[in-house]
Amino acid sequence: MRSAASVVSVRGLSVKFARRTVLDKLDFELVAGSVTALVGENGVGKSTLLRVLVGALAADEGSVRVLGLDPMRDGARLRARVGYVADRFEVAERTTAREWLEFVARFYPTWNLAEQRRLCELLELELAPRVAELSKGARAKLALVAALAHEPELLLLDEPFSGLDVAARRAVASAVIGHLREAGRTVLVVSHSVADLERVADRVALLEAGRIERHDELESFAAHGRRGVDLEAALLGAKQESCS
Amino acid sequence: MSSVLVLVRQQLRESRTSSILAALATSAALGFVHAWFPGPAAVSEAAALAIGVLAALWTLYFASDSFAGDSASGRLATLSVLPVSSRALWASRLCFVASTSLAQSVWAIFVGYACQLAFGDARSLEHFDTALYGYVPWAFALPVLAAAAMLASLLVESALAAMVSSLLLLSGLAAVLAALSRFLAVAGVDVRPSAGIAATGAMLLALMVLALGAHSFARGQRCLGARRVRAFHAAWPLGVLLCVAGVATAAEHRRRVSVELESPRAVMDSASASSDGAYIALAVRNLLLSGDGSPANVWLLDLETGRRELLARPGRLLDDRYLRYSLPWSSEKPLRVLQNNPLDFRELNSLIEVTPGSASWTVNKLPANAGVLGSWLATRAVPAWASVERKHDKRGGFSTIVVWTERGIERVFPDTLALHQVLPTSVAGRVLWLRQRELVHHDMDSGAETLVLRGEGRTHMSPSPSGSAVLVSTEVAYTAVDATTGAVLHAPWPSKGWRVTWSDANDDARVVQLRAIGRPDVPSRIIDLDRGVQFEIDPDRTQPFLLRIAQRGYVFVRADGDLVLVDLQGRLVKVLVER
Amino acid sequence: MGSKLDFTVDPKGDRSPSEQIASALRLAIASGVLAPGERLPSVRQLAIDVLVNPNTVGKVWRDLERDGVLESRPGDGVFVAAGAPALCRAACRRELRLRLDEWIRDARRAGLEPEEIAEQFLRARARRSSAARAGGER
Repeated sequence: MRSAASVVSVRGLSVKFARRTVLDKLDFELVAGSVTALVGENGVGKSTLLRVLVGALAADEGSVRVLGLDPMRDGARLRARVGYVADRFEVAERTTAREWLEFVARFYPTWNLAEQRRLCELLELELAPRVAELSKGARAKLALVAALAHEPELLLLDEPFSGLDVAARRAVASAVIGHLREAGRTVLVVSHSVADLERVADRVALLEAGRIERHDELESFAAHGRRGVDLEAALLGAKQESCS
Repeated sequence: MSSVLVLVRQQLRESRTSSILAALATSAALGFVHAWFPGPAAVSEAAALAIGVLAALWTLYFASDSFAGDSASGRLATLSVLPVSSRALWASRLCFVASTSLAQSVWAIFVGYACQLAFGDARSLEHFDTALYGYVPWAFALPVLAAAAMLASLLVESALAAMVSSLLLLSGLAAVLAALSRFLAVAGVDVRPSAGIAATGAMLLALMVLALGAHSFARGQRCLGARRVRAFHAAWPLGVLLCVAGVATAAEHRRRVSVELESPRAVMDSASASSDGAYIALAVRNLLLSGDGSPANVWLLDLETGRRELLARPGRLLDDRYLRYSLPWSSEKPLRVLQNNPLDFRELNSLIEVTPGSASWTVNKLPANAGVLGSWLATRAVPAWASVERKHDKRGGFSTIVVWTERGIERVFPDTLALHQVLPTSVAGRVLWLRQRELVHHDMDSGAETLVLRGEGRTHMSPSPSGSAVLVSTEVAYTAVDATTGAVLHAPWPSKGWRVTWSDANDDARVVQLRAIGRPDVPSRIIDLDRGVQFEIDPDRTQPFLLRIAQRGYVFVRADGDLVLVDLQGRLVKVLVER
Repeated sequence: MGSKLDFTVDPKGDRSPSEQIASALRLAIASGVLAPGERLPSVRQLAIDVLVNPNTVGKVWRDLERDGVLESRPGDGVFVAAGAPALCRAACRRELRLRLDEWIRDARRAGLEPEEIAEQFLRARARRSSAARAGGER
């Protein structure tokens, strides 16, 4: 199943925290151009998988290749081409949003200032205030701008919709879909917000018991007895199936 | 490289407030010092001390905060997903700590001089210069401090806790080093702290700790969620290192401290025979290449049966307090042995007394006691009527005081070494005195002096073990003279090419040993001055040890290394210890 | 051109986003908003306007092409096919009939008699006509 356009290629990945095995010989493949939703229960290891892909966490076993690079060995080089929005975003107290973006921009050779401005406008983000004073939603938007402004080939989003109001969610979805205007860009989104995922994603990967149980087109997650796509029901159904 | 600079600049910007506050605190502290202390010397000393303390304090502070605060708040996690390697992140923190520490130290020194110019005068400035210069060698401590604090800062999430734990870590290291220096002293390696050794040692230590920090940080970066993993990864190399060092040191130490009688590396230090000639105590030590021996082990040997017992490891045989001869032991005057601490051989562990019995010996162990030890110091060579004291001169030399206890007469002999230049004889009141080149009898009662022997050039006097005779050596000859009468006991022997010494004995016999210098083929000669017996032996040239046991013969180390017993005519009786 | 396709996708709705897009497109063609031979907005543009994954939009385009509603001319874009209006009208009618069937089924379950159902229908139709006339007068 390995194709030349494989953006992420994970084989036999295992990650253990203290006594708990979070990811258990996980196999995962991500092709270019898709927006894949990574779904699963709370605490199943979705954020962990993302951190392994970006090189913030070492695998205990298995091989990981992102954009053809090993996140551990070539972490710095890889992260220049990957946009990552984590669930937590902390900076020094007195730093303003503008200062933060200026600081971050120095690390990315592909930083596009025009794109940064466009995104800030689209997301209605004010850069003057201090990051510590920004609302949760504004902070999430700032993180997204920092991740998108350097036009990454791979975008990893960890709960980008959580805690946002409707308008902010639309803005985030808009930014992500706008990012896809260039061919070949790939997105991996972790979220619990099924509605937003149905909008933004075209593929779904279900993480369960440390492995990717199912990885398919969004359309195929059809629930029994209801017309069309019902991701939520599909998730519940999948759980029931594995329990029975 | 550029990303490191960007990170450093950012950190400097973020820590602007703390840096300024620290600089202000420094200024205030030094101003306070100048206000509080009175005289020029006191204020300058205090200011220099304050500068040293402040430099250390700010180094500790900024180094402790290098990771702790940021990792706790999540800022480190945010930085770690930027396109920077963990190496760059670590390096940037290191640069930050180094530059900030340097800047604060320089500022402190600058403020110090400014205060001197503002409030001080030429005298205080001079004091300040000297005092400050005295602290310069301590600058090597700052990198170690910074390294330890950075390491602690990785493991502990609160900067304050990092400060405390780094101080604990350093105290621990200091304790280990202190213990290590004792081991090394035992091994003969001189670790007196000098600036060179300290600076080298500190830089090595700092580098080691920093390497440890970098290693654990790189591992830690991978496991930001699992703090326990980080601590383990940082600690295990250090733990292994300490264990290996400990095991190696212990093994080496044991090798140095224990000496087996049969060991080819063992040399005879001293020996003491019981008055009845049945038993002999031997002190042996390892001869090391450096020439400094390790502490001795004391063994007890039954000359008849060959049975042996280890008395002290390490330990010392207590010998004559003025001369280096043995003190023969009996049930009235037991053998006295000191037992030292195996970990620090300079420390006394216990006192051991051995009493000879008919079939065996009895060992009695006492706890170390300065009073008891004082009472144990004895000499054979001073007769009962006199008491001799060695005193330190005001000018740093020695003088001897002889007291005729019964008569209450006291005589001070300046610039003399007790017993080596002043020797009370068996006749009450008569003292044999080597005064410059003349050997005289001095009567303490009348003060009269009789010439015994005139020396030539450099003249030395060497009393026999019992003090009844002396060997007078000049540049020309050795002459054996009876201490009491002054009569010459034998025709003099030439000094050139020969060395004449008394043989140690467990009785009052007067026996000399003639050794040919520089001619290993020429055997040594033993001459009993009273009985006229003489014979030749072939001893080990490097171990000039000879003990006469009145009832049995002579014990010495043969050229082949064996400890042998020959009879009073020089014929081999048996090999006591084979090497 | 994109402004002609004025609809939104509701991800929480009954139907999947792709179904909503397909339905909206068919309606636009059936009602004449989009005429045969007219060029459709690019997949990416529509995705941005409607806030749906471009691949999803592209899939809709391909499905409609397969059904004969759209035709793609390489290099030119995607256009409304010649016989599209008729196809779409038929499709819309099918869909409406399905929804009507569902409505009737629900009404029956609620306890309405067939006569009542018919009455409801006529009343609703009357309401709509009067509302249209009122809107037209203004």
